[in-house]
Amino acid sequence: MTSTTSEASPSGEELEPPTTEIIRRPNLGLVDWLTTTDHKRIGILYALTSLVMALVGASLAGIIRGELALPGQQIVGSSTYNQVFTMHGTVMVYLFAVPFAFAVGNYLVPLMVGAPDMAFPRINMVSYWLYLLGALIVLSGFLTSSGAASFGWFAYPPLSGQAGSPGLGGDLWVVGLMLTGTSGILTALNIVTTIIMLRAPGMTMFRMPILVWDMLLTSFMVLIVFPVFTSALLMLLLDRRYGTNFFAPESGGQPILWQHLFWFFGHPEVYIVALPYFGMVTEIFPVFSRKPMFGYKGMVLSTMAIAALSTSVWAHHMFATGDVYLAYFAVTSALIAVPTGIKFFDWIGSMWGGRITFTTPMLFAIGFLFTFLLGGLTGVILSSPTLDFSLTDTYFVVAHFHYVMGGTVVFAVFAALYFWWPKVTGRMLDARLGRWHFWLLLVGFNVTFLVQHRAGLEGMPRRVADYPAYAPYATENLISSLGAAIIALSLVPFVWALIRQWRRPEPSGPDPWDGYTLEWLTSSPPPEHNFDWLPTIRSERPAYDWRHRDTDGVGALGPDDPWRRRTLHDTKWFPLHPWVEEHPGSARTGPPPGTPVTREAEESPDA
Amino acid sequence: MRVEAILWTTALVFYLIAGGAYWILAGDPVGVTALLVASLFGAVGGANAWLWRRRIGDRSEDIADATIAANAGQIGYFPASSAWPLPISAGIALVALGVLFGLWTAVPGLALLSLGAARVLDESMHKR
Repeated sequence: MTSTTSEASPSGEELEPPTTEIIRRPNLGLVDWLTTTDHKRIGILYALTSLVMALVGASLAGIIRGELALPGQQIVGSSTYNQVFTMHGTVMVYLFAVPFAFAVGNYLVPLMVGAPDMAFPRINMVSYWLYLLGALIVLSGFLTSSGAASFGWFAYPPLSGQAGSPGLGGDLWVVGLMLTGTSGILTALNIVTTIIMLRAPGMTMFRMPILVWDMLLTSFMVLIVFPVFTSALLMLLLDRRYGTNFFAPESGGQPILWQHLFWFFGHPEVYIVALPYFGMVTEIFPVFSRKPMFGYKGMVLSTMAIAALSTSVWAHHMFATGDVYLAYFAVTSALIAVPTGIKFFDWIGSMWGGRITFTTPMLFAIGFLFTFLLGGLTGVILSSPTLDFSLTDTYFVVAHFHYVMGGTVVFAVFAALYFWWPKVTGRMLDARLGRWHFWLLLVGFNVTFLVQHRAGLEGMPRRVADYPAYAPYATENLISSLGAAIIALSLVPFVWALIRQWRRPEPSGPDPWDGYTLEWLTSSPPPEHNFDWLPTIRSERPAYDWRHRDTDGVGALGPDDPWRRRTLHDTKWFPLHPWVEEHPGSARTGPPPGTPVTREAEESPDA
Repeated sequence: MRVEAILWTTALVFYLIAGGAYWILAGDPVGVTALLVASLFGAVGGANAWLWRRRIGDRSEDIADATIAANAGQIGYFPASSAWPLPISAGIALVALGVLFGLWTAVPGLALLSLGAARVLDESMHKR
């Protein structure tokens, strides 16, 4: 990492970072990919693998919706249906949502903090392989004679015990998830170390992009809860294979112990798959509103609050067992609505009064806001034990967590794909096809899952393969299945856009969006070890500052310098926060992408 | 390291309070153990961060007006490729499958794992 300070004016033409067209690396073939320790390649491997897993999970969902479309059993029998919904949940939660977040973290965290690579490149690759092998082991249950695991994705004993589900499929499920859990722990260690130890000079903690903060706090949560889950899985495996009695009630074990251990992992898991996706959309809103992020500190502190609270709400999944202290978990669960509300406030504030351009990533990010709002609202309803007693294990809960874990993840995944695709490949994805993709997905998703709330209120239990023709929720199921077909249809324009950028590439240049964070200052795709040049970092938007703002002399602060005053103010009133903000009076920063920059507009006197 | 240290200390304090409150209110041993062990995570990380802050003071990435040149020089060892992560992971997977299938997967797994670990150690020592 060689370095250049800002001796020359940043507006000088000679300082433009190298505008690279599509870089064609020397293609060393498959071996190069299998032995890589480059965080970007590992990120791509993670992303590809998790997207394949998403396709597997979506196909399983297709079987579920196909079976439930009409009363009577048409496609699969009850036993196969149990395997299908178990593996749908398992694949989507453990093998798609978490690894895709790690894919983005792997690719972007070193770029965003200005590091040459992750702190432990080889451990990084070890965790990718552990994830892949674990995923294959989990899925290989389908090949055994007794079929895959069929006890639901949270594997409650005694159903998940040897007596409840004999057969190799369940054992493979446990072993595979132990491997992916280990992989998650290693990745989290790597991310924490990278963020703490490898930031560029001047990149203080409170200048990190929100995505990096969210990855850091997510990794903290992973480090706290994944070991609990992995060891609980080991206990389950010993119960199943070696006759121990941790969870087996017939010989004095405690099934409730599993529920506590599982949900102590399982609820933070919900936020482990949510926080990174919050971070992704938080990077997108300000860029396409041409404004600085609104409420940066509030965003960071609310993320901390969510991360902390999420580890003390686990038993709200166990209200109906009658064996938990209701008030504690009801209060902490309802409390999570507060920091989440702050996040919504900040996201809307980031767009408020900005020059919004509805690019594809922005559309998907707004779609994320919409679905997450609906899921969050039903979450507040379910946090009340009184309501939860009648709603738990109905389709109301299914609809709720498909909004918070399904919709938000999927919308944020596509937002991130459209936003960072030019950075990863050097090519743009077609905007018109992206709009088709977005609207089809938005309609399809809501048609599928909105009616499931009503089906749940009418009493449809989850995890049933069939229902009678006179059931009041028969119509809802048909509508829901039609919605699933629309979701499948929405992938057509996306695949078309992929083929199109493959056949007729449209070079993006290093920074197609006029982005804010450091990754936009290197070439697309970035070279090995990421940067051969870094700008002076004086805010959480170094790339923006470098392009549009005069940072001359910032390194040596004069007595009446606005940056210095800002620093003193922050040191006094917010001692955690030694950063400098841009000039007040230019709340609306920057022109829309593509317009030439005039310096005069930016030079408002400091009030 | 100050913000990092405060972050871990906050985790310690939060889990002590949450665990204590849960102990008093619910008295469920599983949850109390989980929360108090989580507070150890904050204690270990926080102690490490405070200790290093005392030893080395502010690093250039903690200083608001540091220049990029402040970190000039080599900042770490980042191998661009290594063949050994795959054998290590395959070894771990085989050992784990050994719980199901017995020694005939566990022993080769252990061999692969030790070989890979030794080779990675060798790479690091010779900065290859």
